[in-house]
Amino acid sequence: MHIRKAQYYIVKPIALIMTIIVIFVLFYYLQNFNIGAHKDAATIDAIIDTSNTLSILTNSEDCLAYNPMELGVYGSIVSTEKLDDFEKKYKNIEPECSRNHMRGWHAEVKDLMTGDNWTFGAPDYPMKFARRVLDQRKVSSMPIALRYSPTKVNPGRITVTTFAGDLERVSGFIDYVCMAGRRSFATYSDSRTFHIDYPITYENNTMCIVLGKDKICRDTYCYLFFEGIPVAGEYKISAKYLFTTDTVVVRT
Amino acid sequence: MKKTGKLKKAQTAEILNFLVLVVAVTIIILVLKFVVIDQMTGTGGTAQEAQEEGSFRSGANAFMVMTEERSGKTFLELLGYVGYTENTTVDLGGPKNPLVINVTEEVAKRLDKIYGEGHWYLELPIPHRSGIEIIVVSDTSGSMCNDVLDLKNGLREILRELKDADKETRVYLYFLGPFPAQGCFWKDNASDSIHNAKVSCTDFDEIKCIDVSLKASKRCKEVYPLHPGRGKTEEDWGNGLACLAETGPEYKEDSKEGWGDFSIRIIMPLSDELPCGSETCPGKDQRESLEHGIESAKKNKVKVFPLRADPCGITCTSASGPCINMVTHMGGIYCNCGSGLLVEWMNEIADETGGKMYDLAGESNSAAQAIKDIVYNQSFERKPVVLGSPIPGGKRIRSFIVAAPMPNYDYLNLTLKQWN
Repeated sequence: MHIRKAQYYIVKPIALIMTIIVIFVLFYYLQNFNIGAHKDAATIDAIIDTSNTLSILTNSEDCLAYNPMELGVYGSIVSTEKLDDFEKKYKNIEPECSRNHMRGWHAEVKDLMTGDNWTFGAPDYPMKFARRVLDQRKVSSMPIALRYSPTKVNPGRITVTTFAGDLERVSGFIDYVCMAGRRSFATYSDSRTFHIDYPITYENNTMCIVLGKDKICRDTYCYLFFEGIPVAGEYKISAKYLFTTDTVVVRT
Repeated sequence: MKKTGKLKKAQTAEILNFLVLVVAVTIIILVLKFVVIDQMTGTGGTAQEAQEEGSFRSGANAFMVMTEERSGKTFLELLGYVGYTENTTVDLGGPKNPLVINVTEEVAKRLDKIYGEGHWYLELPIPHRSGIEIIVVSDTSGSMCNDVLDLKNGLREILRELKDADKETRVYLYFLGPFPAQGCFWKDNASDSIHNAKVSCTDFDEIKCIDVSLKASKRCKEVYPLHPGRGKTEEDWGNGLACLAETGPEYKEDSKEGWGDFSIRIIMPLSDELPCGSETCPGKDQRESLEHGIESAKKNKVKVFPLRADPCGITCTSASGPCINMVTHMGGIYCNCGSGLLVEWMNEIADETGGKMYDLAGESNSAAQAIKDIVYNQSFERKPVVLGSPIPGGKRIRSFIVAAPMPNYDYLNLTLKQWN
């Protein structure tokens, strides 16, 4: 009888411990699920953003699309004149027509018959830095028609690489303030909080992320009064577009 | 004893509680995994699929406006030409400056680059044939009178039968010159001639009949300005059919010319001699005339169904004059040549063009019946032009239908399919 009682008192705590373990497993799983869901959502966002960038670039007359109304056909016809222009103007920055303020992107257009190619947009990250610095990097491409003249339209392919890291988020925010101010012909200001992992510098319209001895740089739309972010940390960044001087003052 | 039982029960309940908890937790995890996470993954897959669908459509849109480098024509236009001409190679130049484009080859080159080799399929439907146009080009030398008479007597009835059977058929008769009156054909009605055999176009009220001498024909001069054998004799059916294959029929009522859109094109030379005559068998002019006919028929997608008339019968040349036995006449040259080399040549032109020879001295004893037989054996359906790779099973296939304009202001719906 004593043995049975002792047996009962052993089973009860063991059951309790096992229950705690099971609940812990469930909690751990839920936690992981939450993280996984966030990652999945971010991946979906990245896919959609990349796809949208491609669509805007090829279908908007403000971007590369050749006057679609004239042809009576919508989309996918890219003017090589515009490509030449974009290659000259947007070597280290995305064109305003398809700027995404949360992500940077780089585009490459190739003529599939002649092998000619054009590149524009912010410079892509070398793979050794991409894995370390970026939250997301997506590559997507689609076939297009390259219009040289009414009688010369060749098959082409446009490839867009989108990437998001500290540099893209900070420069995206500042470019957004610059564009909003320019469009409203008025002084415009905004502020946002960022978690920064790597130092950011600014000099002569060029903003860089410092990765040890290396730097990845991109241009900004407006001239900035910005001293950069020397160390990692949580920062509230305030940016003010001054209409009179067409500049942005940035404070951290 | 009672206490022991209670403890045992409590112990069992404890274990059961734990088991229930484990099952509940497992169910929660499974629900999360299969419902929520799969939903999320599904959304990701949908976004990816939407991107791929957009990419496919972009490629299709781009393909529509791409141009062929030498002609400057869009591929949509070129495919319209292919559908219209039923020829995968089109010549956009002229006789002096030919600009031959192998459309299917150029299309494949571009779609391979756009979608990758083995990842696309293109189907271009060719419009079905909408009727049959038959040109009978007849030798009018004296020995042909009975056959021409047979045409005169039988054709009208056969055409009525075909009309009743909903077989849209137009027949045009071309009598080889030179004119005026020659052999059994008269320019004016001459039904009082011997055996009532002489005919003129006025005998064929309901049939489009053209009394044309190749020598005098402006249309044939334009087609073959330099050919020496053109219209040499009333038996020159090789050059005659060559001219008609190029120009198509001449409509009687509205002066329109040329073959109808999408009709089945048939020419039936009716003769008992070699083209240009059997006096020399064979001769250089005769062979040239035949080759001319083969070349033009093939080029214009005309099927040739020769009607070999009896070269060994009795021919009466005038009402009062004697009748001639062709077996012995001129040492039997007409009979022998018409029974040997003529059969060979008529079979040759039929084989080369997808037609068939009808022997009016044998089983097919009536030209009009031969026409009926030909009409009933024609298929109006045409196979589509198919490019790319066969569509694989078990893959997600994307599809796009686009209208390609044809030169006759009609459209063809071409289907483009793609898979990863």
